[in-house]
Amino acid sequence: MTKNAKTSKTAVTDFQKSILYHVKYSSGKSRDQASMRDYYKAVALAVRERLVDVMLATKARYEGEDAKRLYYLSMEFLMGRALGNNLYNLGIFDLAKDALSDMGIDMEEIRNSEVDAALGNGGLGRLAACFLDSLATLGLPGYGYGINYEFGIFRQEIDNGHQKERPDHWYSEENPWLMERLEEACIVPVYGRIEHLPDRSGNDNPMWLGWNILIGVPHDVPIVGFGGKTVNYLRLFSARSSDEFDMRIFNEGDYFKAVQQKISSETVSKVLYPCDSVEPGKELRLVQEYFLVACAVRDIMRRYLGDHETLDAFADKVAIQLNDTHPALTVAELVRTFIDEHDLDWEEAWQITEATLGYTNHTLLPEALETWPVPLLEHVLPRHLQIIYEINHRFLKKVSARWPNDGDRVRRMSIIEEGDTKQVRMAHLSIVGSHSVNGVAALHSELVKTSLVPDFYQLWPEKFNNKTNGVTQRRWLLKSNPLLSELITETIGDGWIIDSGKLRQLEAYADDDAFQKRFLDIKKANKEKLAEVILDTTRVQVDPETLFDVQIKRIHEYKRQLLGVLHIIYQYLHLVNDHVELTVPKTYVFAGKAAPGYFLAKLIINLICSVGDVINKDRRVNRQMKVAFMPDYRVSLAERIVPAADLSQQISTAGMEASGTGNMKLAMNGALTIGTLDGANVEILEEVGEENIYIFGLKVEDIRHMRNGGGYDPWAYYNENPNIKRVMDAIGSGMFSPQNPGLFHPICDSILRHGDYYFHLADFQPYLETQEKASREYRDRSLWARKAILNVARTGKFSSDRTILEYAREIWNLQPVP
Amino acid sequence: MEHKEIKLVIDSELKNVSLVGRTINGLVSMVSPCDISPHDIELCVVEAVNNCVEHAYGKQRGHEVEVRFALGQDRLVVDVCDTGKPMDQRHLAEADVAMLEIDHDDIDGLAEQGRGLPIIKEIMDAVIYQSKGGKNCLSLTKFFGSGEKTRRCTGGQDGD
Amino acid sequence: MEIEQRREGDILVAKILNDRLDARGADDFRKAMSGFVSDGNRRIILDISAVDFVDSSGLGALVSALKLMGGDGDILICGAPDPVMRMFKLTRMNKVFRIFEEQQDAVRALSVE
Repeated sequence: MTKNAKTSKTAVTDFQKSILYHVKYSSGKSRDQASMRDYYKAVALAVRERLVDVMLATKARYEGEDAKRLYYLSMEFLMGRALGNNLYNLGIFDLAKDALSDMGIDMEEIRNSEVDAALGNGGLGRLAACFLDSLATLGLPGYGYGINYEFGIFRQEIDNGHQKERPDHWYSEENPWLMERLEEACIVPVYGRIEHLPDRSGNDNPMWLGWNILIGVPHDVPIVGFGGKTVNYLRLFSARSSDEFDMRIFNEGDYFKAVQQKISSETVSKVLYPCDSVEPGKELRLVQEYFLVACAVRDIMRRYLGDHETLDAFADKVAIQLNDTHPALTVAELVRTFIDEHDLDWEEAWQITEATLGYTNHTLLPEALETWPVPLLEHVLPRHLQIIYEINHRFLKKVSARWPNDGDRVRRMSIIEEGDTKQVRMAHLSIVGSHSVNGVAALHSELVKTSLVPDFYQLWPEKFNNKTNGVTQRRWLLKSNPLLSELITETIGDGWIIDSGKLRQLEAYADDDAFQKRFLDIKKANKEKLAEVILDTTRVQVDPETLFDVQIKRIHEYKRQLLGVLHIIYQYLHLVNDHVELTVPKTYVFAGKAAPGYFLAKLIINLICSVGDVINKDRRVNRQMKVAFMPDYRVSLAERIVPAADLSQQISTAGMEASGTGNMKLAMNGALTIGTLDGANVEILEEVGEENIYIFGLKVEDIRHMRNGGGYDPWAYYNENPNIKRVMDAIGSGMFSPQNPGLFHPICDSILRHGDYYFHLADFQPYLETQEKASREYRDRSLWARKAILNVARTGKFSSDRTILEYAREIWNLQPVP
Repeated sequence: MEHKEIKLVIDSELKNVSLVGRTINGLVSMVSPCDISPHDIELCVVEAVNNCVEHAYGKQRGHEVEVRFALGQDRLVVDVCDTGKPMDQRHLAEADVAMLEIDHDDIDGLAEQGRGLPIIKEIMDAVIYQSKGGKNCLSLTKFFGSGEKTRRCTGGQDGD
Repeated sequence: MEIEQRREGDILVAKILNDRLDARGADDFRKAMSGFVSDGNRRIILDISAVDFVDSSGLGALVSALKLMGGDGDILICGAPDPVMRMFKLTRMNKVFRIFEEQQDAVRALSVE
């Protein structure tokens, strides 16, 4: 580990020289003029020097072996901060710390000066970031391709209990990690029309004419693997206006036509859409998705053709993974490139496309399944629509051949959905165009096959597989929980950093008194640190001696933050009205952003804050409960909360959470999960054992049954369970919104009048009882320590290293190039 | 956090406590917004310093009590530190404004001591006690309100 | 601790001349009060209009004086400046002592009893 790397005097001095050089020549300041942010930039640039050296060496290594490359296409990369992670992975964290403290600078303060790169909404974006870390650590030639949004996910402020969205300018212009590659900029056509002109041999040759131009300028973020041997990169494209390129377009001959720019090109990479389910029909979003795809495909083609004469080996040298359907246009863009620009015939083009592409599905929520109106696609990408029609035509012929006279099936499977406005189903396009379709947890992958797209599974069972998500233990344990990491390394050695399976060796210490004590002391210290952050950000003082119960994730009805709140209200009323003390005093920590247009989610934030206000101020509660909603959930905040959690809330309605990755991070840091049998919770249960996790509630089959049978009546629960009645009445009466008693009625209505689609009331009583069980067991400190230690020991499976190795072996056929 | 900080050190004698109290009162009226009462902050600091002199040092002279006053963007923080006998954390945890309630029928049972910490906890927004490396610090935080009230008081008037 | 004494019939009006009733002066104050009580005073009005600061030790001394009376007698307080009054309310002293703004109001209150 970093500790072992004795930091020699000269290494420290060299590093200091490099920092001072950048303060002077990169920021143009003298030492005493330099601000903390200048120092941060200088340190980052000093680190970047080292990254670049290895990056060039890595590139040469890959080229020398003509290695197959993997391109991970994702509209989102939630990278968080990079400095600490880079220092750990390069093995120079202590060196840098010594160098800085010698100069009178505090490393923590430097690290806190870095703005999170928040180019994503949630799990899908963070998964992409963890994957990049694992690819580099495993020496695999894999790159992330995304968009260099000027504004990432909004910054969340809580104003009087309400979420306020503020622009997050993540300073991409002056970001020290980004390296602009102007020389590799590419030209992307968009809009225009199709004209059917004969080619030289007189055959029909549809030409895409009259388009506008977008310029994609790549910016590379170096990604270093642990050990510092491999540096890959994340390539982010910025959209630029084409003015400066017009001459070149003219010079490239009559294939290109200089056209009037109808859209302001630079708006394309302006802002990330802050929603997990994109509102249909947003033209700019469609252009964004296409922009990523077009830039990526051009870039990939250029690299491939630099080393190869023909396209024969394309699929042997290139793997492309589609992170959900957002980059699904890659299917059409590859076919278009092969046919229009490289004269392949359809069959060849199609075969290469399918062999190259893999598609990862991330959601079962019907509203999150992307579709685009045909007229819009025709307007923005006429040639691509044409190709999609051709793909569909050929595909449906196969379906009809296999199932003759099954018109229903053809309609269900078609890439084009019929209706008043025809829609292109991006998931169908992705499945048809890929050789592999995977879900992100065992349960989820099963549901993809059996519920989401069963027709496709029947047609191509061999395409479908599972790749359970993972998280990188380097960021989520080594870096974010240094105290626990040190204890683990001291106990079993540092092999776990690159081989998470080694964590199993901790099982032997689960009952060791001395180890348990140190483990609990560390948890306590992490809680003390979090308590400071909570005070700083919410003005709520919490007691580190209490049980920290955390629910941190995007705010969504299916994730059921509301179930958590109902339970809190229940406990509160039980305490102040029935005078029954809590089994164990608790601190409830919430964090998460709600999509700006999602009214109920925002109201749920409001409810959490309001309930918190009432409870935190009520003298009768007398230190037994505190509720804190921490604003602006993001990677760096998660890194503070996760190591301090005792209980991890993973209570989504069964069958709705694809995998979850927060559940993995928390378990890996010794929080016990209380959860439903949903997403990866199922596998966490398998790994840690049923006595070390709190599982409750309806299962997928129960829910399906209750939905189909229509037998679920929330009123019955309300009338029969006095606890439920009391809680719902309290919300409805305005107890938590005395100024505006009707404020939370929409929440009550969603549950009582609109059928409680997410089954809050059905799961309430089992949840309450399971919470109580957890509280009882928490009081037995040794028992709890044992369970928590076993969670750390047994969650090695959930390393993204394991996930990436499975992708590399089973989907990408990718070999390490060490 | 960007902040301004001032450190005051006194010898552990009760006669010095008012010096610190008056200074803190002056500082608060000078630099913090109108919604913070200088008198109330003074009261908390005096209570904390009294505790150091009387309990940490057992009223023995010749020891230092250090008071650090820091002003942040949205809060003021006063740390009161001694190097004497550490306080049992439970005293702070259990101190509650409920302890100030009185029983009319039992004037004889009325406490003559023990109101310091409950007063501090009632007035301040956060109170944290830490004992590390022989130094004990009681850290008192008071947040400023928002909007209109955060305007600086003009003319040096008392913020009450 | 400087205390100015005045009599109105059997009422003792004691005015504290110091500006602080705190830990430093609490013992002196307690002794002075104890002297008044042992001199047979059972109706005492404490004028604290000059006192701008009372801490919990000062309160303790007040409480102790009241207890010396053993339920047989009364201590009234008058003239508490606003910040001190807030402190009394916070510590519920306004429920233990009868508190008046003006000295003559306190005297009147005791005289009619």
